[in-house]
Amino acid sequence: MFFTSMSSNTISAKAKSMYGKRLTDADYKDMLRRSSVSDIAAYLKENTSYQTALAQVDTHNIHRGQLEDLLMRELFNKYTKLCRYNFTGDNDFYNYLVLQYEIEQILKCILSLNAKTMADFILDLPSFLISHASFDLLALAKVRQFDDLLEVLKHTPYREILMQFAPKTDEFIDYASCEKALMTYHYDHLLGVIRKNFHGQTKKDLERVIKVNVTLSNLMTIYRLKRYFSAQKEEIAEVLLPFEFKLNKITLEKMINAQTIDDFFDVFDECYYGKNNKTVDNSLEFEHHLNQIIYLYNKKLMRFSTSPPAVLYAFIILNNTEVKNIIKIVEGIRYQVPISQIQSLLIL
Amino acid sequence: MSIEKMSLVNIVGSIDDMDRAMTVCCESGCFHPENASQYISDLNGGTMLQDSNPYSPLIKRIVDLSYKMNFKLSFKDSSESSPKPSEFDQEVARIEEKLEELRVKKEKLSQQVAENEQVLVQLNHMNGLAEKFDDIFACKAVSSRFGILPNGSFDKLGYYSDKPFFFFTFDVDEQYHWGVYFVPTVLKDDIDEIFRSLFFQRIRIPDYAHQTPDIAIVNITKMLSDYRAELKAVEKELKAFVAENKTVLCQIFTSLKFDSDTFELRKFVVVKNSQFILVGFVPKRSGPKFRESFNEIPSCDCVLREVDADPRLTPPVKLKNNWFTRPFEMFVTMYGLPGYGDFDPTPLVAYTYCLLFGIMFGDLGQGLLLSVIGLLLWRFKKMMLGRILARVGIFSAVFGTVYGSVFGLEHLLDPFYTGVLGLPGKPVEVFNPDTTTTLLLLAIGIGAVLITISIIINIILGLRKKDYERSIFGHNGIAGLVFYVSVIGAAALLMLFNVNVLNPVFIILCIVLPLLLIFLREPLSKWMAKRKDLKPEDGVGGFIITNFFELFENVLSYITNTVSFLRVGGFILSHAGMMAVVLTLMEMIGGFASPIVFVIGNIFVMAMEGLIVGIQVLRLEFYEIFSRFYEGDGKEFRPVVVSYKIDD
Repeated sequence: MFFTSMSSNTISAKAKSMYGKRLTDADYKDMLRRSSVSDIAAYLKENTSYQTALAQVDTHNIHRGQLEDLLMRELFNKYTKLCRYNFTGDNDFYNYLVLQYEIEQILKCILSLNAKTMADFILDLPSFLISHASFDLLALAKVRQFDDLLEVLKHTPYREILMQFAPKTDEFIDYASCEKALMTYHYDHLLGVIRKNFHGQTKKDLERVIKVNVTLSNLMTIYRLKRYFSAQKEEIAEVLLPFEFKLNKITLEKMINAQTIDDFFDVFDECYYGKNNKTVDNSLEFEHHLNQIIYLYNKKLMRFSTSPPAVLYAFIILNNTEVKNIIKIVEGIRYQVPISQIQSLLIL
Repeated sequence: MSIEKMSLVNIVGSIDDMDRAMTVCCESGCFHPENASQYISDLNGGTMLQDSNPYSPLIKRIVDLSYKMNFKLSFKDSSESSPKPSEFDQEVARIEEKLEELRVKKEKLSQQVAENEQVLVQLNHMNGLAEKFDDIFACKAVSSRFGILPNGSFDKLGYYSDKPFFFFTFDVDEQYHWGVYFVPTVLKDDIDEIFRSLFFQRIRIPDYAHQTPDIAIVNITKMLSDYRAELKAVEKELKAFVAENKTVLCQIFTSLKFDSDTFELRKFVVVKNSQFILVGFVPKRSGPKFRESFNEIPSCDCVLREVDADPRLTPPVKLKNNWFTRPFEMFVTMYGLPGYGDFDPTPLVAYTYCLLFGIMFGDLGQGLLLSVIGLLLWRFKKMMLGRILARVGIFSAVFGTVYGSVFGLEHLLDPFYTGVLGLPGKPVEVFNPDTTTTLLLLAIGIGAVLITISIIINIILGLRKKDYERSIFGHNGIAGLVFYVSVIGAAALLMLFNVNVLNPVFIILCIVLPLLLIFLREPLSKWMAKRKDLKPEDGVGGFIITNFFELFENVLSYITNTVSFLRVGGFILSHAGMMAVVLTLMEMIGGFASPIVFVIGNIFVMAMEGLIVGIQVLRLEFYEIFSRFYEGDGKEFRPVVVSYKIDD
């Protein structure tokens, strides 16, 4: 018991120390001044905690995709490094990121099958996942039809979930339903694992952070469907994940039933997450705002939580945001977007 | 020790002389401009100037240059050799051009050095290759590509197992597989495309390397050293160029920044009928000199008026304090500046902060050391906190002498008390149980006095503003003061002298009546102001409920705020306790290590307790004292000056 608790606390201490080495505002400002991907890679290599990850990399010739792959690999390395301090034995929770990435790859595969772009699938495949995934990722890259996909996933629970969505000849695969089924399975599984392995504040913190993330992602879905697809309320209700936190069913229904985007914002402004919301003008600001809420929530958890698994979960989300920020800068500079515009896209 | 008196200034003049007038304002260093939008509506047709600053683009180019040349721009006076304003653009362009030329040259050489280093590394990784490059490249049906493949991409090669190529690894490190792939020449384009998508970086083996790797290494090493020498020469040239040109850039920057900041003043100007109007404030004592400086501009008229001449403008606040209290302005501004005409609490903060800090952190040795550290921080780092430390350190030393504590040694001063002062021993023995109780009671006493002073200040300020709710009926007004002093006084008399004054008359007059007044403060203050809307806005029921809970909270806050000062006594004990731990540790370890424990222990206690006490006293100031009378809604006096500092 003593060693178990000590090891878990090590995760917390280590994660907090890693978080302490995060990029600062000054780092972002310096990166924004750079003029190419190589310059940014060189900056990260010389001045930040990505030094080790980029130590052997020739920054002069680095490609955007390669840098992105290295940053994601580094994030995954940090995750595995932290999980190494878990001596609680058979605790499935610490495998959550692998599960999440697996589902992301399966969904990407379904999208590529629908778009008939499977030939390019291998290019974006995160190579660091190959040795950790519960199925053959290279075989996933060779999938050309839905049956192939089921074959690759035959020894995993994903097969059972996806079987019902097998398309008839020449039909598209129902991506939205697949996504909902897989994500519901993921969060159900995760919450079940949490209920089984944790109790007290740790259980509370973990359930809360997961549900906050899912709730906000549901809000983002409602917003996008309304704004870009003028979707009907039944269609929206169909794709939402069945989890929520501090958002009762009536409010959610009001959001779904909102006739216009402004009506939606009115309901949002009154809900728990919108209370401190600024005036929302356009899509970018709203989605940015939701991402900001997620970021701040996890930042708070990172700082104040004493539950190691919750700290780990928050750390991964914060680190992922940092990586996304770097990618935004890289892409912005590549496409010569004005600095102020790139800056406004960063989640800080 | 007060708030600097201000004068309102109206400057009117011909638009032709506007720039000269702006220059005078900037050079004076004491003119606080007011935004024209506050009074423009009264000018019937006046317009605000919205020209874009013509100096900004060139300043931006200079700032970019300084960033590229890696030096900090600063103020530099012009000399005879400085370029004239008409030559600024040309001069900056010259520097940009030359710098770009050198940068490109350096970049090219760096690239060549990096490439050759890469080739060398590659060759060093080819220990397993005994074949000559010439023989490999001579193959006609098979093409070969030397280079590095990221490890992640190497893992993906399995996906292409059906493609006609093979990758041979010479070496592996943390990031890359170093090797070569062979492919049938007719299919090389397709396979090259695959490797490109896998981020394979091709390393071209140069012509002179067409031997075995060993021979190639010797050749390339020689070439590399030539490139490095050339690169070094360019770097030297670049350094000399920077040294040569940074002065002139600073001079141009100084001149442009002055013009630019002066130009920025235009946004405060209103123009009407070829006349410009500028309104602002200057400190009253600088007013006449400021007005005189406009004598040289005949078309300009500068008029000094009473500070409240225009009710639409809120005068800015500039604190004026003596050498002792000035550093504590930092704490006051942290909370918010006082309004113009309000009470400047800086002296109160200065003396109470020093006193409370001294009591809580009483140690002769540590106090003096803290003062020295403070002085050094101020002298070398210009930290305002250093000046505060220097002052509180002295108070800490004084109270340390009273407690007889020197770096935690509680009896070092005993000979001084007995021999010099003729006392029987230490004046205050902190660990004596009787003293402990007295210290805690004394702490509450100090709290009660400070809270009473705060309430009195609030009453005076309220009366000055004719705010009767605040000064008479409020919980920090006369009613609150009577209640608080009566309760504290009755409790003190009962506990210290066993005198019970709590008779029905006292209770009704000094406790119940003030509470009733506080409860009815809103209608009573309206009645005193001869207002007719005496009826509560939320109805009688709402009024009773709201005020009952507010009254309950007020009574509770008197207790909690007073008890809050217990921490003052608590920290006296905690300081002595922590130092006792250090000395016990020192004794336990003994030998040579004990002085080290003593020093580290003292540093630890000073750093930790100094920080905590500093924060706790500030908390007492802000929550228990400021919250009773201070509004902190003043506007800072910000004179227009030329800033030569560049933000990141």
